[in-house]
Amino acid sequence: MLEIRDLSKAYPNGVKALQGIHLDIHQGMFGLLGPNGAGKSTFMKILATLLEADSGTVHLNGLDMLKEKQKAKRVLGYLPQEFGVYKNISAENLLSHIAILKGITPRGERKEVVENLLVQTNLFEKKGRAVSTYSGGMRQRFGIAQALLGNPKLIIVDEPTSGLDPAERNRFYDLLSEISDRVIVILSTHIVEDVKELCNRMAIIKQGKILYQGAPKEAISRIEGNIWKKSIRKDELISYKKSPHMISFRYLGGEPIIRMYANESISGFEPVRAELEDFYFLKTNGNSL
Amino acid sequence: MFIHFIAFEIKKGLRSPQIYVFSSILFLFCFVAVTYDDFTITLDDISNIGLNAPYAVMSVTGIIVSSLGMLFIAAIMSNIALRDINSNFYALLFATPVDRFGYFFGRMCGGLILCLIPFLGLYAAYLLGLNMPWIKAERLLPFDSQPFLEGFFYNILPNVILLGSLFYGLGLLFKNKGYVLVVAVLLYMGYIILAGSITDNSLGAVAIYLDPLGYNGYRLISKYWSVTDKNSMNLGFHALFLGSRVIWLAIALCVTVWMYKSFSFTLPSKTPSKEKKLMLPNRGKKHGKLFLGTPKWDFQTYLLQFYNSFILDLKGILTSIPFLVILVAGLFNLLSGTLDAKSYLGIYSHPTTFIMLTIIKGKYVQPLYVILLYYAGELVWGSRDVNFDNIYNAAPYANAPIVLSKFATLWAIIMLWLVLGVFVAVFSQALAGYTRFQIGVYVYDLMVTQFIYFALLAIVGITLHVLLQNRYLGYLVFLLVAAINLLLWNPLGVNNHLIRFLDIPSGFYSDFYGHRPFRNGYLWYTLYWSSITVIIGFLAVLLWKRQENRRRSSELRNRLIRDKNGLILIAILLVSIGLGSFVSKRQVVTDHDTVDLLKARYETTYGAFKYVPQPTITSSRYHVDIHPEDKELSITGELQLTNTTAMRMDSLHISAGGFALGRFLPLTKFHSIEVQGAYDILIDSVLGYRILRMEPPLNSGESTTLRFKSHYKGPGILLERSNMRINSNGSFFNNFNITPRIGYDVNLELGDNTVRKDLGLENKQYLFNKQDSLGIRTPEFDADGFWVDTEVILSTSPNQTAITSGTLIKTWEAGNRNYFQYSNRVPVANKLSFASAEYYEERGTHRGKALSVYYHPEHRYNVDTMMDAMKKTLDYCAANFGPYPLDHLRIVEFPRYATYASTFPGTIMYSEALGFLSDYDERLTVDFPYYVTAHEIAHQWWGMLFFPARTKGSGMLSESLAQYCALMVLKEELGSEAIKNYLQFEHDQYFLKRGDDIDHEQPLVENESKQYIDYHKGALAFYALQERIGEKQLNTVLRSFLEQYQFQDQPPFPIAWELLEAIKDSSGMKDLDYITDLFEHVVEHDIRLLNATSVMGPNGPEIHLEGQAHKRYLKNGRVYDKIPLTGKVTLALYRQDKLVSLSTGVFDENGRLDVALSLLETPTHVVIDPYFNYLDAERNDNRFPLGPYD
Repeated sequence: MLEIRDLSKAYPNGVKALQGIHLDIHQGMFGLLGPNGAGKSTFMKILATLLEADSGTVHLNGLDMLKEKQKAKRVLGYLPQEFGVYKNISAENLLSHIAILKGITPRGERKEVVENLLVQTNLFEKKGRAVSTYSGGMRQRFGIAQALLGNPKLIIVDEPTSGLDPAERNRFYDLLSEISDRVIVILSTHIVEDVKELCNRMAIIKQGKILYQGAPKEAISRIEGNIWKKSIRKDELISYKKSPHMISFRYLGGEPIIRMYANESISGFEPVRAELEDFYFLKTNGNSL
Repeated sequence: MFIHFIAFEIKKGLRSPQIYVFSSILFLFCFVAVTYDDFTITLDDISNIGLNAPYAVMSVTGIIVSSLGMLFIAAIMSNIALRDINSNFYALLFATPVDRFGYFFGRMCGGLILCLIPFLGLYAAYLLGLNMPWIKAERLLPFDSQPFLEGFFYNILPNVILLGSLFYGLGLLFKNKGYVLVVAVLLYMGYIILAGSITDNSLGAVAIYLDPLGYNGYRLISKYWSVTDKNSMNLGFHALFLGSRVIWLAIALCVTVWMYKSFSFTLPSKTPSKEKKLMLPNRGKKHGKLFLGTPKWDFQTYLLQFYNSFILDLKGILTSIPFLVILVAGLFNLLSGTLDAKSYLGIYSHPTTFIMLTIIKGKYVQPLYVILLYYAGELVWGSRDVNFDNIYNAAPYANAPIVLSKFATLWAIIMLWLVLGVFVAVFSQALAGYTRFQIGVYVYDLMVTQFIYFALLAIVGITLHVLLQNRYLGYLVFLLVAAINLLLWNPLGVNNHLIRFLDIPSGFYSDFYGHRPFRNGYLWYTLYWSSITVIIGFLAVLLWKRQENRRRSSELRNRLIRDKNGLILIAILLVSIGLGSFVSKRQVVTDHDTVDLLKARYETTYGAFKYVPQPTITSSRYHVDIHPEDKELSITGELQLTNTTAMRMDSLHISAGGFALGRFLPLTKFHSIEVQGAYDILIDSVLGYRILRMEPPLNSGESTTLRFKSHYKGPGILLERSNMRINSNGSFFNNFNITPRIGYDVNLELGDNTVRKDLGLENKQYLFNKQDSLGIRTPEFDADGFWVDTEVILSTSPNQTAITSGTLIKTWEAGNRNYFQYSNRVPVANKLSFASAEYYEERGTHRGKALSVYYHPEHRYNVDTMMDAMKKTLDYCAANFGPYPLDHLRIVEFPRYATYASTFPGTIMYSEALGFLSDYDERLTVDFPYYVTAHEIAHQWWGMLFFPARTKGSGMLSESLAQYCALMVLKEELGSEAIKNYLQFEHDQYFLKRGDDIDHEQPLVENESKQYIDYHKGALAFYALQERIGEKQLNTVLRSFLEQYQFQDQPPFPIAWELLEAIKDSSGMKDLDYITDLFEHVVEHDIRLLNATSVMGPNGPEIHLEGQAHKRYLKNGRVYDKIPLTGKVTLALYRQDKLVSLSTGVFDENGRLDVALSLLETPTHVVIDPYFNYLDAERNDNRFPLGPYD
């Protein structure tokens, strides 16, 4: 179990990226949901030992991750939000290099692990090509392959699905869920869909604070029955936007559809099933729920 | 739009650090170049002219803009060309209706303006540097802005435009910054190679047009400029130079327009992605449950991490284009050097391993600095550059193997570089048919000493980047460290290698002793500096960056104290201190300031005794035990002192000072000095001065005996060449090094007039004016004895031969040592050499004289030549100047710690570096060994038989006459056509070295020890003289002069004017003006053929020649107006290289020549003054082609 206590981090320019984060994360997929600039990447980088926290502790099954950085790295798999690679080195060689850095020493074992992962990420046929020539999706798959190397206990993936097409995203989910029964996977994202589909636990973070933690299902159940929607004309949109009940609007075939949160029915609106996204918008808009 | 783009580029450029980094580098570079004499950046020496002289400003701006500046221009312009492409702003921009012309040229002009900024830094540094308090006043000329304007408008501005537009275009063409930098480096290398071919060629001034960047063109224009010219000549409106600049600018403009025409406003096409279909995972390849490996953390893992990173990094560098370009250029440069092995004075040498190493160290290892500088940064910042560091730094690797692998990568690159250098060198040797490949010497000099130096520097380079955490700061500090290390110590007078960073003295190879005398010191210094560098490298391991926002002070504290690394560091530090103190106890470092003070004190305290009459040495006996292995000498001597004056003498002065750099071996100690019938009344043990009272006083003609014992022991760790004289193989010293000197010793006085001024002493005058009676009373060669008979016993180790002047009486062995007894029964000059080494001896006899050459077994090449030259010169001099008085004549080789040949009675000490390895056969220029040998043998007459007075022009009586005799011997041997090569050599040397003379040139007969006048002008003058008045007549005058002064030991001693007057007397009036010009004036001639025609007449070709000649006088810096040259001149007509006809023409009172000749053979060209009878710097116009014939 990953226990995070009072984790805070402020940047020299005064931005408080994290403010007293307190989280318990168990085995399985954990979704960290938040808008851009919420502090997710800072949080991920601290967990990945790349950034020093100002205060607080992080323990993984009793291991003090912030003090024992070298030991922490040994149980860590990290896919950063953005990464580049050296030119002129093939995917296979680069993966093998990282495997060595991660302590997979015997040549035979290393070859097997690397090939395995290349197959799993469907890069096997392109293994001789330099990663720098990969497309965005391929590169992202390479990223997950390297994160999985060395059998980590804690896998941190930071915004992994941005830039992936739906099919690539599915394959990505597939791979993550396959290992998540053994380890802790923390998935940081601003895409609600990712969390809904993959994670049994989640947290919503905004301005460095945890607004919610729990199961996605539980979150949905909190607002079940209180969500209403209506198709409107475009010129009506402005007046609805002023409403305190408004959650979101989206277009369907060019027509705006707006969703409202209310304990009782609103005239002209029809009830709909609550979605995680409703909860996310409500939370991040400051609704205490 | 155009203006907008210019403004935009400038604003953008001013916001980026690049421009400031470049400006500061140029500022620093130029500041140091201006303010420190030791730091030379120009290809020609400018330390003897004003710092703000036109030549200095043109040279500094010229070289910088075409080297370092060129790289900066390339970086700035390619950056601008590629920014929009790299940032993908292209896509946005090209969708807008942007003005194509404005975009292309606006940004280019903005860039060019930016490129000028670093050069403002250069000028700022230059002007600031001129005002630094330590700049010597004599190096500052009255300020004049013209040189700086010319530097800007001739060098900086045209080259910024030329190179800037080129690199801008190349950036757009290649779409890759790396390639542009590669081109810049190639261009730079090419330019350096071009440098030689522009300044040395047969095209003459037209070669200026070959030089795109102007610097070499300028060097060509100023090739023969004197110091006065360099200080005063602005180019002004120089049509030729301006023309070449304009032409190259026009070419650049055409290229730019072409670039613009072909510049397209479309996106660079991307390689189409083949990744179209998305395949589902192939479950068939899966091995059951997903296997992700089991990490292990043991030594093997770390070893593998080290090895794997090392291989990856190494591959990265080996396949990177900048490295390959520099490597290829470096190897090419080396090959051109090694195939063309020259040594002293540009004479071809056999390609010995030593020469190869000199070339490698001179022109091949320097790029390693650039490689280390650049790739140290790359290795540290590589993963950051490509944004891979998040993945990389989250990986659980340990610091040590990774950091060590970075070190090892650079080490491998260094080693590869050096090994390839050896291959090229060995290849060149083999190609030249030279097969003595001294692999051991290569390995020691390159794979050990050079490698260790650069390897340690590599650690420093990487550590700087790790510690400073900023790439550009890393580069800058690395450069600073290198610059400070290179420039700071000498001006500060720090010559202790324990302080001079990484300055490990590796010694000086000779075939005689190898590296042996230095090995001990090298080992200890290497250990010392290695231990220091280990500490530095250890910091890199500890502070290797693994996270973003770290607090380095607390991190360092953690690493040192919490992780207990501090203890290790302290342990290594203790080792360093221990090694340092061990070394400092065993080394001898000359503290020049202290020595200077001692010398000044010597002069002020005892200078008053300078002219106290003293007895002279009339007979000497020495017993010298040489212990080469222990670097030891023990000496006992007995000198007979005779009062040769008419006065009674009651006091005897003796200088037996041990302080360094005087005439004694620096570590000589005198155990006892006793004089019969005299007792000490003053002993100054600090300055080594003694005064003895003689009782009874020594009457005229009476003698007494001085007995002394002394001892020399070389230092445990050898650092300085002054302490090299006694070594394991190849010891060479002379009697002044070991014998107490009678009287005050003028040679111990400070020589450097600026130091003398600082210490409150007056300028030192070496040679007196001819009117000065002190001059003719003192012999030039500061002798405390004139003519002595000698008796010497030498002993040395069993495998060595010990040699001194004198007939070898007997040899014997005793106590496992070799003994030799030599004696001179006829009196010889009191100037004895002593040598001991493992020699081969080549013997011969010639007219009853025993001739020998003692040489290193591998240096056989020119021994026969030397033997031949000895015989021919003996014959020539004996026939013309009188018999050779001794029964023996020897040439003895000594190691290359000095580069000269020096004459002693019956013995020539001849440096390994001078003629023994010259290679004459293949390239017919000058047979240097023959020439030098003949010169030295001639000194047995002109130098060993009389003492010239200490007056100006004294060198004419020894060096110039020895040169003359050598030329005459060669002329007899080769004929007057072949002698032209030698005259050409002397001519070139004279004009080249004259350009470096800081003083006003004096005439030959008044010359104050300037070698280029005594040797080179002297040779030409006497050769021309004998052509004019006849060899026989000149030799008759010389012979009677010699007979008059031979074996003289009383004043007045002869002066050069006496010889000149005798020559003038013998020649009569008709050649008086010509002789006066040769010896008494400094004259520049300008002789040219204006036209030459030839038509086929009835009896053969008829030639018509027209020429014009001027001369001008120079006196004490003043240049007089040109006046017509009148008088005879030689005309030579050639058919190809064969002389067809020789005749004489006459320049009339207007300096015009108009000659018609009829010949039998058809010539192809004509040369006026073929034998250099007139000193004419520009000789290209002395030649004119003839024909074709109808």
